[in-house]
Amino acid sequence: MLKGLKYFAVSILAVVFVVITRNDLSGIRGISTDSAAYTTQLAELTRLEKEMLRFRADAASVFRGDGSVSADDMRMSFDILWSRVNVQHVRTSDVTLEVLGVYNPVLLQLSDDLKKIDAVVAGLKPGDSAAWQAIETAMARTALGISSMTNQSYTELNRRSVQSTLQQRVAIKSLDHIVRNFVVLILAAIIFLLWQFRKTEQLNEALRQRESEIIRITKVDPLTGLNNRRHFDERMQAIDEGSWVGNLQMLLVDLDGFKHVNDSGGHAVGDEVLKVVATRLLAAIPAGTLLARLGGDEFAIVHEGSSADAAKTAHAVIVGISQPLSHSGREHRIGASIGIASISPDAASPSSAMLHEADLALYEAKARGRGCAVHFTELRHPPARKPENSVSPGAQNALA
Amino acid sequence: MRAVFQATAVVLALTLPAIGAAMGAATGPAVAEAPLYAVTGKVAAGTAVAIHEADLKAIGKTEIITSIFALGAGQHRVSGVLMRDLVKYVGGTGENVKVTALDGYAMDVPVSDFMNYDVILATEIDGRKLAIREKGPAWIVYPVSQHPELNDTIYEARSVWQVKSIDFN
Repeated sequence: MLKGLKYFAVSILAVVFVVITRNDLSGIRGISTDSAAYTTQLAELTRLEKEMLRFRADAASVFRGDGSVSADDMRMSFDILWSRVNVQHVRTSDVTLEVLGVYNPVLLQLSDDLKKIDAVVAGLKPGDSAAWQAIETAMARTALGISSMTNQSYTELNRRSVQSTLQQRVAIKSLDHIVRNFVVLILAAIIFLLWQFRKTEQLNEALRQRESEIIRITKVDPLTGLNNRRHFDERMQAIDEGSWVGNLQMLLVDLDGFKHVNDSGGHAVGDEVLKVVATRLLAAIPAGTLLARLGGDEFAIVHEGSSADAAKTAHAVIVGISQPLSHSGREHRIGASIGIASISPDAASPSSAMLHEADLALYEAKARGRGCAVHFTELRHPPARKPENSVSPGAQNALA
Repeated sequence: MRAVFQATAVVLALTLPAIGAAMGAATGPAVAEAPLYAVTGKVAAGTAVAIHEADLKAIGKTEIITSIFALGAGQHRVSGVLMRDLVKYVGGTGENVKVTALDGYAMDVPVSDFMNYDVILATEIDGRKLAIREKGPAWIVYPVSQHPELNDTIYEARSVWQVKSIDFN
C-alpha cells in the first residue's frame, strides 16, 4: 500500500517535470532562423554589386584601351554578372512579399538592361563613346536598383534580428527554468533516497537489536542474568576445539542450605536468594572469568591461572556467599561447596574431563562437611583420607 | 567560346610552365581542346590536372534528377561526373577539397560528402551544356531530392557553381 503510493508520487513528479519541460522546450524551439535567409540575401546582393562594379571597371578599361583588361576578360565579367541576376531571381522565393515588391521590378529592370546591352558589350571597342555611354547608363540604373534592394533587405534583417533577440531571451529563460526544475527534481530524488536510506538503517538497527535480544535469550539465564547452561556448553566446546586455550581452572559451586530456604520460604524467596548469590558471585570472581548457572543452585566458574589462583577464587566465593542474607524480614544463611579441577590438555575431551573431575571434587567437598573447596588432585593423593586436613584454609574460614 | 577561352587561361596559369607552353604553342586546336576546370594540390600526378571533355567520358558520365539549390523547387536532369569518380580519376588525397569559382567564391567541401552521396560535378543541366551565364562551366550538385537531409544551408554553401578549380589540401 505504502509502496504503491511511493511509486505513484514518483510518477507524478516525473510527469510534472516532463510537462513543465515541454513548455520550456517549445520556448526554445520557437527561435526563428528565418533571419538567416536575409543574411544570405544580403551576401548575394553584395556579390551582385561586386560583379557589377568589376564589369563596370573592366568595361571602362576596354573603352579607354589601356590594355590592362582584355575584351574577353571584360565579357566574362559580364557573363558572371548575368548569372548573378538569375540568382537574385531565384532567391526571392525565400523572402517576404514586401521584399519581393521592391526586388521584382528592380530585377526585371536589371535583366532587361543586361539583355539590351548584351550586343553592345560583345562589340565594345576602345573609344566607342556611344557603346560606353549605353553601358554606363545601364550600370548606373543597376547601382540604384541594388542600393534599394540592399536597403530593403537591411530593414527586413534588422526587424527579424530584433524579433530573434527577443525569442532568444525567452529561450534563455526557458533554459533557466529547465535547469532549475531539474535541480529541484534531483534534490527531491536525493532527499527521497536519503530518507529511504535512513529508513533502511533504522530497520537494520531494529533487526540488530532483535538479534542481540535473541542471543541474550538463548544464552542468558532469565532469573539471575548470568550465562546459562547452553552458553557454558558452547564455551566448553570452544575449549575442546582449541579456540579457548590456557591454563584453565574450573570451579563447580553448589549452594549449601538452599534447599532449606526454598522449603521454608517458598520458590519466590528461593529465586530472590539466587539473584543475590549471582551478584555475590560476580563480585567474587576475577575479571575475564566465565560464570554460568548450570541449573538449580549449581554454578560453574572457569578462568585462567594456577590452582593457587583457583583456590583464591574459591575462598572469595565461599566468603561472599556466606555473608548473612536477609529477605522479607527473615535472615537466611547459606554457604557454598566448591569442587576444583585444572585442565588436562591431553585428554580426549579436556572440558568433559575437567567437568567430571570438578564434579568429583565437589562431591568430596560435600562429603567433607560442606562450606569448603576441594581440588581434584587432593582426591588422588593420600591427604584425601584425612578430611580435616583437606579443608582449605579459606573453607575453614568460611565455616567459622 | 569566350568562357572556354577564359578557362584555358586559368588552367594555363595553374599548370606547369612546360605544359602551358606546349598548349600555348598549339594555338588553333588548343581552343577546341580547352579544359573545363582544373584539379590541383595532392593528386597522383603531383601537379595540376586539367579536366577536358574527353576526361569526362573516361571518368564516366552520370545523370540524376533532382532539384537544385538556387534553381527553385523544380526537378532538373543533372549530368556530369560523380565527384568520387573524379577523386579516384585524379588520385586525390586529403579530407577536404577547396572549390573555387570564377568570381572568386571558394568553399571547403569534405571528401566524405562525395563518398556518402552521389554528388555530381555537373556540366550539363536539362540537356544544355552550362555556359558561364548558366553557372557553368561546372556546378557541384547534391542529390537533394533523394536525400532530404541535404536540404540545408551547409550543403547549399557547398554547391559551388562556375567551378574553376578543385584543390586537394
